[in-house]
Amino acid sequence: MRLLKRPILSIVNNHLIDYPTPINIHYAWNFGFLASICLIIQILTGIFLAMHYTPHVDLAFASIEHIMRDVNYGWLLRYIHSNGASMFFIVVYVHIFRGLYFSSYTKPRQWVWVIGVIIFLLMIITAFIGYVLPWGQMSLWGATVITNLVSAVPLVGDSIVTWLWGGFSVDNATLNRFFSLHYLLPFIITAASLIHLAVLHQDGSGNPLGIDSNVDKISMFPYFIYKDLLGLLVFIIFFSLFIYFSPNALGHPDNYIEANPMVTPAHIVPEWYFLPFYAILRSIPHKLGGVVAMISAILVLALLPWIHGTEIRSSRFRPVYRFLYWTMISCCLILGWIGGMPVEDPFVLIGQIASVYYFFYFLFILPLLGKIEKFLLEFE
Amino acid sequence: MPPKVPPYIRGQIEYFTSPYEQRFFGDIFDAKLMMTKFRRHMKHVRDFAPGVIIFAAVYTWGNSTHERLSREHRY
Repeated sequence: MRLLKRPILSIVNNHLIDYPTPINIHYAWNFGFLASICLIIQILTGIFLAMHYTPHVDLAFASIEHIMRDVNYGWLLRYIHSNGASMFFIVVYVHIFRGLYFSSYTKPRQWVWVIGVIIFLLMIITAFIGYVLPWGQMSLWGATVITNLVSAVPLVGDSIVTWLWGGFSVDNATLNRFFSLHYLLPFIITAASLIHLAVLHQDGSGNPLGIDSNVDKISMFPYFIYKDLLGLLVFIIFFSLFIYFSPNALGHPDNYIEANPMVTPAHIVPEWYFLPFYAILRSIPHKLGGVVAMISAILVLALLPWIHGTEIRSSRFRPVYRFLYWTMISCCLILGWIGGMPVEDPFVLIGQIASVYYFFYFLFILPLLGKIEKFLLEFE
Repeated sequence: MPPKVPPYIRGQIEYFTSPYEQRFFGDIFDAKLMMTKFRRHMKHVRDFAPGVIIFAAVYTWGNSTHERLSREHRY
């Protein structure tokens, strides 16, 4: 169609229609598209929720109940938005683990990966801030715990925290600025996602074999557009099961109690997608050490392109790495479980061992395994 | 940096199969292929089974030990 050759529409044609895509990418490659859909869903539902929400400590909780009970389909908007955040993290975690399995972060896609880590950090900040807005007990106390961590910064920590709070505790000023930032950050995530896609499209997608796919590519449309739509259908069904049948399964019941600064919950825990990092934070019995470990657990991902120890990309051809990859997955699941448990024996010891193994895997196993595999091949 | 080789894009070939010839689920329930498919999937089990076993073992041991340490009679 000549229309697709016009100046602006030609971008759509070159990147979404006639875009050359490796013929052998499978359903694990659907999750980038699903992540963008989740972002759009969150932005749209968030905008409509913001029309009815009041960011004041005396009115926020009640405004959420007003949305749930009085606003037409407000309950649907709220449940889509709250469960949508969980879905967003599920999709992004699968997307990240796909990248780890097939070594998608290796040259020439290292900057795609680094931008992806930045998007992940922005998502974490946005989700944390968004969880404060309903102003339930977990909102207030989760915000209090995490913002207090900033005071671990030497010399200026306390000043930064006071500046962050806009006062001397998590209160109305904090809620107001968190609402403003929660509205702003998704648009920054959108811009970062477009840059992520643009940098990816410089060299094209990887593939499950990890080899150069320039020898055999097919156009994005219709093949992978329809594959993405099928993946979207399955995702919507999975998402709908939560919205319509179990909308509070992934949440914490304490957040249905209005925030009370005079009553501290017995167990303060973040949402499930933060639990592994929370476990790493609590494993170090030193405030600054715990904060550094927690942040390092995310930033270590950005180092991967440069510490990858072999020229072979895909785990398809690396049986030893495949075994260790699944031990890392089980380590992450253990950390997630421990993050939700109280700080008692034997959970403390398990959390510490799992935290050590997490860093050991990325900083020692990944770089050295390539050399071991090379030795094993030559030895045979 | 070496010059980039433009990708080879396969031409799109359209063909139509008569609805009287194609099968709705293809070879999903093909009995002859069942064992082959089973063997293909079992290879993956060898890779992820140790991770699953480790998680299950740690989870079970952790919860039972915590329960034992929480009660008055610890041993």
